[in-house]
Amino acid sequence: MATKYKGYMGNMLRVDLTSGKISEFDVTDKEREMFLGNKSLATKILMDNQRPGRDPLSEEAMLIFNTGPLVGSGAPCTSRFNVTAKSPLTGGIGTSNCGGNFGVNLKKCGYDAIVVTGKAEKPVYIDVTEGKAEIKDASHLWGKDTEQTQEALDPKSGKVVIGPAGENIVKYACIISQERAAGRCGLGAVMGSKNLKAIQAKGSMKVPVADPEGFKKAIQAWISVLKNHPITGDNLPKYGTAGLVNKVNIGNALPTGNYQKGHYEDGEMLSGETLAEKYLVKNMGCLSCPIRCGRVVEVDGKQVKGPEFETLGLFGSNMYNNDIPKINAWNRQMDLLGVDTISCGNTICFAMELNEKGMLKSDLKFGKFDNIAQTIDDIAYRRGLGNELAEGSRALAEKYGGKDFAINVKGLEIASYDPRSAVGLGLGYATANRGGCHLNAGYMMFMERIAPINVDPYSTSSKPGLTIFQQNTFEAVSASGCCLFTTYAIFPPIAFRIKPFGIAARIVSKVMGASGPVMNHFGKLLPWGAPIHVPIMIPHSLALAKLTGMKMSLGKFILAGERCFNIERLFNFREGVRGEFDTLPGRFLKEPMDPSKPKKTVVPLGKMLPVYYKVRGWAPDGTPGVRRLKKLGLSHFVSKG
Amino acid sequence: MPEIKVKFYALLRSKVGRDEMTVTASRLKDVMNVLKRDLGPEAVKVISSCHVYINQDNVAFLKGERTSLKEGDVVHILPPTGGG
Repeated sequence: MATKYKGYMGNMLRVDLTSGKISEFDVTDKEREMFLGNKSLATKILMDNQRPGRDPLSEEAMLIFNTGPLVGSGAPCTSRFNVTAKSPLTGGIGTSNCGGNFGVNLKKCGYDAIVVTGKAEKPVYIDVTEGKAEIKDASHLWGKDTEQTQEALDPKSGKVVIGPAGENIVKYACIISQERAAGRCGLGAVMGSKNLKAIQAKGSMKVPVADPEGFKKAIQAWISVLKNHPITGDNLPKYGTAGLVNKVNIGNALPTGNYQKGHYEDGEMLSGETLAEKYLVKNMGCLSCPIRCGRVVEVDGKQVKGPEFETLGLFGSNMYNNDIPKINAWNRQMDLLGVDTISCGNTICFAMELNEKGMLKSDLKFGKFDNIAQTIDDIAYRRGLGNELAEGSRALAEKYGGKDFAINVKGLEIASYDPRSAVGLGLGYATANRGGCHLNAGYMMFMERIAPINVDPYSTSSKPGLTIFQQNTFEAVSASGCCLFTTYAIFPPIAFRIKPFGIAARIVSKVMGASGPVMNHFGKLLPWGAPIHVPIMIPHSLALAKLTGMKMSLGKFILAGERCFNIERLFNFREGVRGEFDTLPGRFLKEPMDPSKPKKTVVPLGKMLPVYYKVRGWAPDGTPGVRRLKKLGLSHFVSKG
Repeated sequence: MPEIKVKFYALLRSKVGRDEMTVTASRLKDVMNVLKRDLGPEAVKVISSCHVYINQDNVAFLKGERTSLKEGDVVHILPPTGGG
């Protein structure tokens, strides 16, 4: 093992599918300290090794499967691996995080990451065992769906596979591991472009721990926080992510009719409560997860993974559908074909509105559902109109118009939250590096609608600072190899004893809202002023310190998150995705959701963005500033050009 | 006094044993007093950690429990939820 830090296996695989050459390499300990792992370290590898301007579907393009130090360590919610490449959908950074069983098993083989380049002449899969990898023929797997493919591989291995959508280079094809998806940014298409059908990994090595006793104590306390937290201990296990449907719908943020409205009259019929009462067979979880937010439902007599909140919104209210069984079946179909449900739902709803406005004649209509299954199939196999829908909503708008209501940012279709009812989320969507992603956005919906103390969802005050803090924290948590649901503890259980509509909460909320300048600098100051751990709120830094032996603190942890956000930004700039892409669809900027309150119901992005740039230490045009990059240890990327 | 529909969500439904009820009240505080009287202390404890919306507005940004109600208003009581 080359690294002095525990938690890592200290070895990475490089597989060139063109030449068939397989080799090992490793990053430095300095890079581990700076970037931790997963998406952050993968983006660094991409920046160092892939030339700018490469076609993401070319032989030269790199596809990186990476883990974080916490993966496989026994810490809660740490089965997360990450897939990173230049996105064929957006042209910018493409990263997607996934549960499933692949990451843990890759580390059991003694590898932290696999970097794939080249293109195989015929379909192949990569077979990884302890200290070894082989490229094997996958002709017999090509054409199979994601379940058939996983069943045909070693049952004791962890796997990542693509379905027909990836094979056919659907620009939002996903990668599946067990029932979980690395859903976003079209990374399944990158895999398909390399004729890579699957990777399997099987080993028995253990993740080394620097301070076993200290680590054990840290994760026991962490599990206790998660189990006693009202969201991760109660609500998510019972209702899954679908538990948000009613709250988001009542808060006027549930996309309805391609985001023409934020409230759906039949929202209750799509809710987590209805799902739990009528259709839930049981819940399920990823490896090492005490939350178990996954849903199991029945489709055609078989127990399968149920839909997430996003899919219920985009294949439910957004097309005026109130029927969960239909969504269960489409969700299953998309998982088997390997299609991202968020981009797919958005693109279909955009086509429905194009048809409604006479801009693209088709059979796709709001309220008509008998052709949805066929449309999903047509997308995966690129037949007829499906071939055009497979390019995503931005490409469709370039051909047929309707850019203002093509609901994507930087080419990535947005999640199932309308930002006009949570304007901080709007700022997050606009600035997210991978595009219209609520998580890379910092998920301000939490602060604006979900946390026990909310900040006014329509006010811009303090939103830049809070968004930056959330974005950096999420990046750091992802880089460590942990599920983002663990960040719900930022408001620890004790905070839920405060009455959200009581005087104390309202005063705190008003103070947060009125202290814009302070809040805007809060996230910026934290990394330099917090040489401590606060495990009741952000347990990751303490667990990392005990696991790895790094001199880790809360401040350094958040700083690693800021570094990750900035290196993704630098990658985007290098690929031409610059400041002018930090915007939202015209619908959110110009069309008031509630005409009686026009000023309140558009996203005042122009007011927030300059402050956001300034607090980030970026230039007024959004270019990352050299001074800040120097502090982050990233300035050499700018001088290199 | 206006007739107000009160709707319960998520885990609160099992605590109060129903999805909704109707009360007459002119302020949110009156609604809370009725709930306290009719639903028992365990339900009230859960309600005190809930977000309360009147129609589509979070009362934390109105006047809290002093918020006035009018005929046809719906009070939504939502326990902590997560997802994303």
